[in-house]
Amino acid sequence: MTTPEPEQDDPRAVEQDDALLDAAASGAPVEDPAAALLAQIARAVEEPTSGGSEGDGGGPRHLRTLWGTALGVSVALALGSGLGVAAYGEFAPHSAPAVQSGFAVPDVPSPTPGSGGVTVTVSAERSLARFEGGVRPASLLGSQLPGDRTYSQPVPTEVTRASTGSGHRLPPHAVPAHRGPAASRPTDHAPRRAPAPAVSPSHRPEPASAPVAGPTTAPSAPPTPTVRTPAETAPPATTAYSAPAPWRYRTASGGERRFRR
Amino acid sequence: MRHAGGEELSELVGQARAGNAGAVDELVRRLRSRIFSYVLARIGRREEAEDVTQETCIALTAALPGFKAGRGTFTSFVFGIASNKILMSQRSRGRRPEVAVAELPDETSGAPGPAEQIEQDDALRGLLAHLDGLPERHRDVLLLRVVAGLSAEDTARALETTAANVRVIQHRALASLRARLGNEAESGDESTETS
Repeated sequence: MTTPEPEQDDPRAVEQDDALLDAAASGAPVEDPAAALLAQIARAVEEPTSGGSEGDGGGPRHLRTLWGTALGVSVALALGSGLGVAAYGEFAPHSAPAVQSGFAVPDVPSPTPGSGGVTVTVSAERSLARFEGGVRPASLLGSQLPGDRTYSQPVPTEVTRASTGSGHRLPPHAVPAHRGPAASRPTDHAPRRAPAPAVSPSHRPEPASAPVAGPTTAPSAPPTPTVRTPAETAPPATTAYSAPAPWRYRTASGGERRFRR
Repeated sequence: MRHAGGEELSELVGQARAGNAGAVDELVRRLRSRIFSYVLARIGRREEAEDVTQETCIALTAALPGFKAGRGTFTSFVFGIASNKILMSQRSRGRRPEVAVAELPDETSGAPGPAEQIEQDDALRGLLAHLDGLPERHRDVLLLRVVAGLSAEDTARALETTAANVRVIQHRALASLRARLGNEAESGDESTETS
């Protein structure tokens, strides 16, 4: 930059212009067209919603919008991937929903680490109403209450109390005897994070020789299924069962993150 | 439009330099709007101004421990960083290809719509066009003085020059601007008369 020569300029005019710019910067009305233009530019670049220049918490509107978007994404993420938060008061990102391949139970939230076996949750209140003490109260027996779900596949024997996370197994009399083979049922002995087998949902494992497990016993070895449905007798589906897609969401920067099941 | 000087922020700056994260946040929150206004006036492009503002705030946070109160006010320090960031952005603009988007981004509540935003930006560019004929240094001085609200002394510190030099620059810049505006007004009058 070439340094201007001060002696070429009238010192008085220089001081006047300095004062003029001070007035324009302070927002005072100025008659000079150049200073008025600068004041107009200053007003044009001010944030319209800031309500002030500083100290008011009003940053650029677009920056605040970005923050708001990020907050919204966070809330959506929390609601979407942390379904267990509301029901269990705890978020276990790596606890997979223990939905076995033999049961097409939709919308099963992931259990907490302390929940033990399989959790089948319709809703916290409904689960309590039905399973408190192992049986549905007499007043509710035989009734189809709002919120009840009807499953085409039987419910596993070792249904546990979801809302308490206690992992109590229901007494035998609370469970119908015609449930599927124990090998395909989740048990308290099964690893909680066992991966879903890559087989058809209708496919049941058929060990060569194994004791027949009763519906109330927790097998330690894969038993032979005792009941076979027409779907089970049919040849396995040609399309392999695909494990549920991991929970994923998009980040604000456009990336993608996943939670493994 | 005159903003608080570095003296008013000195306590906050001291806390921020001591490592108080809350003070750093508060400092950035107070200055961000001013930085954005100045950067937008210099660049004239809102999206780029937001990026440069963000880069300035990040650089400011990193440079806080290096700020020495005896070498000028904090605002001059901040706008010195912003001025450098603007120069870097302008230099890299030619190397950065612009990609047209197929759709306008979704409108968010509270923000002006795309059409309104375009109108505002057009109006701003129309105002800034009057400064186009000025040397970059002259534009910088005028905008630091009026938009950023710095005094002549703070402007001098931000641009690493003397206050006397700033006063002369702004005097010449204003004279040039007056002449341009006068010429434009005369040409506008002539065109009105001929039509």
